[in-house]
Amino acid sequence: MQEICRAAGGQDLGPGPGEHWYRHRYSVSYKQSKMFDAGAFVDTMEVATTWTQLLPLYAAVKRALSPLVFVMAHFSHAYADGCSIYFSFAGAASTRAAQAELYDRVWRTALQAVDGAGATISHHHGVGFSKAAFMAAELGGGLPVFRELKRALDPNALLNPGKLGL
Amino acid sequence: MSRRRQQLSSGDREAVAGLLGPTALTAGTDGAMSRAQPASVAEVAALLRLSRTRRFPVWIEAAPPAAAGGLVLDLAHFRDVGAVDSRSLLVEVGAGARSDAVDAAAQRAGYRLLAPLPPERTVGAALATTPTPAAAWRGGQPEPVASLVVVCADGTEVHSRTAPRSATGPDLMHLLLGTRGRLGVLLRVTLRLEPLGLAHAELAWAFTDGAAASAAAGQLAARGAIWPRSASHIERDGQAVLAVVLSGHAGPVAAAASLARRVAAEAGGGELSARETREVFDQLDPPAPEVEPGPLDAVFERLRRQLDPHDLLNPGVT
Repeated sequence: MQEICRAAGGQDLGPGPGEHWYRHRYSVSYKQSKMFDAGAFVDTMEVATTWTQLLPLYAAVKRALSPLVFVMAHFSHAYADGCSIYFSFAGAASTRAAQAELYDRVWRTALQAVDGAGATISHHHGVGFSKAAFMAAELGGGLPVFRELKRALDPNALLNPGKLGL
Repeated sequence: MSRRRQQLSSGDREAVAGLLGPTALTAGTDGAMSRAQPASVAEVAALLRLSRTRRFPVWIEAAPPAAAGGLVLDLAHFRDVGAVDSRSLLVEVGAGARSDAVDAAAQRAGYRLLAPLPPERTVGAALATTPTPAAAWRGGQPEPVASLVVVCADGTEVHSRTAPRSATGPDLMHLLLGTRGRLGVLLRVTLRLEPLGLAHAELAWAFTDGAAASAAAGQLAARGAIWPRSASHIERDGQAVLAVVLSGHAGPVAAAASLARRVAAEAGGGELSARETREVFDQLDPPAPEVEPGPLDAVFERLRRQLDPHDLLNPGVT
């Protein structure tokens, strides 16, 4: 690993960063609500793609969101063929309405960038309502088939209507 | 035209030739079936929509029953094997490519398929007639198919995304794999690869009881011989058997196997012979049993009827 990282221009930072993460990996801070009350917001978006597409995806999301919010990213789950990349973003607006509008716009913009880069819109958090509008793009034309499957199991659409774009 | 017809009429043949061009259709004579060579995913989609409108059956390349009638889809334009993506360990191929040709191309680039496909078959036939190879999951490895392009029986194109994992609802890709061409036509597949230099070692030890085997598994993990997920523990002939898979480059696998043998022996495990070890892994990963019709088959059939209400795509194949 040292060899590969050095050959790619990496510098060995020693065990410190890893040990710090290990000591603090459960030190979750619950600041989201307070930030919302103060007119700011913070959220995260976990998406995934192949190694080949990872940097184009990072660049596309960063480029799309930077005019709107502060954005950064880290890798969360690595596989032989690709990786989950976890974007964190924070922004603010002067009124509650403007804040909500900006928050929704940031999500739309971010998911459009993810879609444009061909990545999946969720690595592990799921879709629910917030990403439902992007399910048609995510499934690459398969949403009608998904709807047929839903209809076969739940013809009256009684179970979690609207979730997953169904 | 309310019922499915067995034979193509001259009107059907004209419509197919009009869609694909006259050279893409070989009209069957004296009862022989007509063959169509669509050149693109869009042409396959248009062809299946036409079959639905005109009610003629369509068979995918691999052997329709004798005198079945209808049109055979010839996937000659889907036999390409793409360049190996050595950064993401993937290769995209046409479903009409033979699996041995894909394997040869991967080997030329220094890789092999993560899970071997049956030789002398097309990739599409292999994946349509068997579920994703179970061997791929042994040792916690990822599954061998990364994404696919399918045209469903109603002409809907599905281009699934290539990502290491996604959490976007029930897995549409695996709904379409292994369904014998009843839900759709598989046209393109992205397969996962692994480097040729990788080695896999399978080891198994017998212990007097489950507690001893579990304690040994903990020791193996704690002393770095294995990743915890690569261990399985089963009962066999009244003994508790601990089985592990080691994967990686040959040197580290040999070193890990040596350490694992030492740790297991210290914990009281007796190593099984190669034959016994093979039997243990066969027991852990048995061939898929014949599945009796059950509630899920009824759901599948309902979905199939919604996509193909006139039973036109590979009719009667089960």
